[in-house]
Amino acid sequence: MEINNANSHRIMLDQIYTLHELQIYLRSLKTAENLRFEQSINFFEELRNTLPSLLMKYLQDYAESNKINLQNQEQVLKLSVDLVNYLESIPVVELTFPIDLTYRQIIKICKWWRTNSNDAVVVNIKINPELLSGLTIAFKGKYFDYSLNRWLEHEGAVAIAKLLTPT
Amino acid sequence: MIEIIQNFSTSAWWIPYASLLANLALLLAVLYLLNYRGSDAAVKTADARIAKMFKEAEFRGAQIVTEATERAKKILSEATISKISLETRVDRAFDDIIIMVQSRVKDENLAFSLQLKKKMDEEILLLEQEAIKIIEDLKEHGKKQLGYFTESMQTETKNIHEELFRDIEQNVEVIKQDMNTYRERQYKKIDQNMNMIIQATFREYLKYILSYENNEDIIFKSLEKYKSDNLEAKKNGNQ
Repeated sequence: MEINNANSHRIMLDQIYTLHELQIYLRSLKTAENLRFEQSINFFEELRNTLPSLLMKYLQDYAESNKINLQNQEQVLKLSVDLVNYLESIPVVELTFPIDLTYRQIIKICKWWRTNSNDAVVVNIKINPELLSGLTIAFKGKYFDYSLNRWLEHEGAVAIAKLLTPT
Repeated sequence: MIEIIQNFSTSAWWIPYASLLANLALLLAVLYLLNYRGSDAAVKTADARIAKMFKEAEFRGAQIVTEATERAKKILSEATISKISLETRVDRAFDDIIIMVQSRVKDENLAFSLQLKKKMDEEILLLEQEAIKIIEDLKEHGKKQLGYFTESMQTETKNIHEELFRDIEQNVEVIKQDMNTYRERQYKKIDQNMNMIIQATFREYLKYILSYENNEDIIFKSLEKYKSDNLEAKKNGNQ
């Protein structure tokens, strides 16, 4: 059996958009790794019970296309380790909004990011009503503020000051 | 010497001594005659003669003693009288001397007091003149000093006034600057407060007017801005 490199799992990102989802997948896979110590159980059944259905489906599709036997604990565990490594390498974009977003909007935003930056990212959503509008972005150690609050404190304040200055 | 003579004449101490000496001389004479007895006749004659001489001597001695005593009495009496007289005279002389001395002293005192008065008058006159001169000098000196003092005071007052006006001007300048600073600071505070009020109002207004759809629109516009600021710059950098 030959398992493809980590990038071959990129298709899996169609199921994962947020950091929360990523963490669920990682926890599931790590739980699955522990199944190898329980020799007596039916491994495949346990795997299906442990993993989220979408992840399980992905594993089945991936196993089928890559000729992996899901009954073989060793192969499944290796695949699981590969997947964990891949998922842990996904960069996280931290986005702060003034209001709650719908899941549809979050997916839309995440897809926009993946399309426009060519980065396989997941988003971590935070809420801060002080922003008023717009968003802030924290990515790879950098911080960008595109909020209305920042605009009001800088450009807006200058504009207001100009407005207040007698001509 | 007079005093010794007076003492001798007034005292009687020497009379018993003179009498004793006379008796002693007679005794010696008798003894002498007894030692030189000759023959019995001669001795008898001699004894008779001695006895006669002795009697005579005794008589003579008694006479002398009597005379001496009388004389001593007389002298003593005279001496006593002389003493009294002398004391009287001495007292009188002393009185005279005292009176004279008193008179002289009185005269001297009078003269001295007159002289002293004259001298004092002269001295007083001199002192008065001196005092008048000193007072005149003092007046002159006082006038000069007063002049100097007045002049000095005027100069000092002028300097103080000038310094005071200078200080006042400086203080006024400082106060003006402080007032300007304060006014600017207050204006700034007012501006800041107004800015804060406007911002707060604006925020509240934006919260009210921004709808869900608006927010999504703004979010994507912000993402586009991020893209143009960073992602395209990154791509251009990579190219």
